[in-house]
Amino acid sequence: MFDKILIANRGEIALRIQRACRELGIKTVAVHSEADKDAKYVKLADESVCIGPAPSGQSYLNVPAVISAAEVTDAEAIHPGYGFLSENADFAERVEQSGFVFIGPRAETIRLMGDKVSAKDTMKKAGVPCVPGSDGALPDDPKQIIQIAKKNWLPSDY
Amino acid sequence: MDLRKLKKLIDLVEESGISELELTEGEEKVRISRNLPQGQNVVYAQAAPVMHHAPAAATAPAAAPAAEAPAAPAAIEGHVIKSPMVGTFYRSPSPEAKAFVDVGSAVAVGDTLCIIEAMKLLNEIECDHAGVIKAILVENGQPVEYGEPLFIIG
Repeated sequence: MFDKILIANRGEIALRIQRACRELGIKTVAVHSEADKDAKYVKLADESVCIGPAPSGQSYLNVPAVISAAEVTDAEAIHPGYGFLSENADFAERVEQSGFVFIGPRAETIRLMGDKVSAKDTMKKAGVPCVPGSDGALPDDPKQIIQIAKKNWLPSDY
Repeated sequence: MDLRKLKKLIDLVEESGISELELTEGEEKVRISRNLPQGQNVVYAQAAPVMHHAPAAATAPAAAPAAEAPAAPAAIEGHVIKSPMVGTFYRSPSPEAKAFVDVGSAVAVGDTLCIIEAMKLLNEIECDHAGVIKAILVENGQPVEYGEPLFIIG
C-alpha cells in the first residue's frame, strides 16, 4: 500500500479521497490554486502545495505543476479524482513516465474508451451489445444522417 | 511535546522577524507570538498523545504568508520575487558553482537569480526589478511552491 499520495483535485472530490486515505493509513498531499488556499480540503490534508494562480488551466490542469508537486513532496502516486486531468491520457502517461503510479486506468485504456468511435468499435469486437447507431463517425450530409437514423430507430414515414 | 522542536520554532520566530506563528499537527497546536517592543516570546502549547513530523511543504505555506507582511520592526521592505512554479530551489547553476546572487548583490532586470528544478528541467528565474538583494528567503535545495517568496530586492 502507498505511504503517501498526491490528490490532483479539490473540494468534495479531494475530501472523499482523503477520507479513503485516512482509513487506509495513507498520507495525503493536497494541491491548490492561490484562490483555494484557505479551502477545507487543503487544511485537512497532511501537506499542501500551491501549484498556480486561480485559473484552473494554470493550476489544476497544469500538468508540470502537479507532477512537480508530487516530486517535491515525495508522493508515490497521484490520484486524479474525476473531471480535471482524470480522463487525460497524456497526463496518465506523463505521471507514469515521471516515476509515479497513476491511480486510474492505463493511458491506452483512457485513449481507447475516451473516443466514442473507437470505444464503440472495441465493444462490438468484444461482442458487447451496443445501442443501435451509426457505424463509426456520422457523415456530414444531413440526408445521409437521416437514412442512418431511419435504419436504426426513426419511423419509416419520417 | 518535543522540547527540541519547540526551541527550533521559537528560534524561527525570532530569526525571521514574524510576529506570530501557529502550527497545528494532528491533535497538537502551538502558537508563538512576539510582544513588541520588549521582544518577549509567549508560547502556548496544547498537549496531546502522538506528534508527527511537520512536513516541509505544510509549514512553508503557514510561514510564507506571515513572512510576506511582517509587523515586526525587523521586517525587510522591498520588492518580493515570488516563485513562478513548483520545484526545488537552487542558488547556483550547479553544485560546485558559485551562487548566482548573495545578500548585497546588485541586480538588473533580466539577471538570473536562481534555478528552480522541476521534472528534471532546470529553469532559470530572472529578476524583474533592479536593485540590491536585501534577503534570500529560502535555502538551497528547499522545495518551493507557486507564489512562494524567494528574494527581497530593495
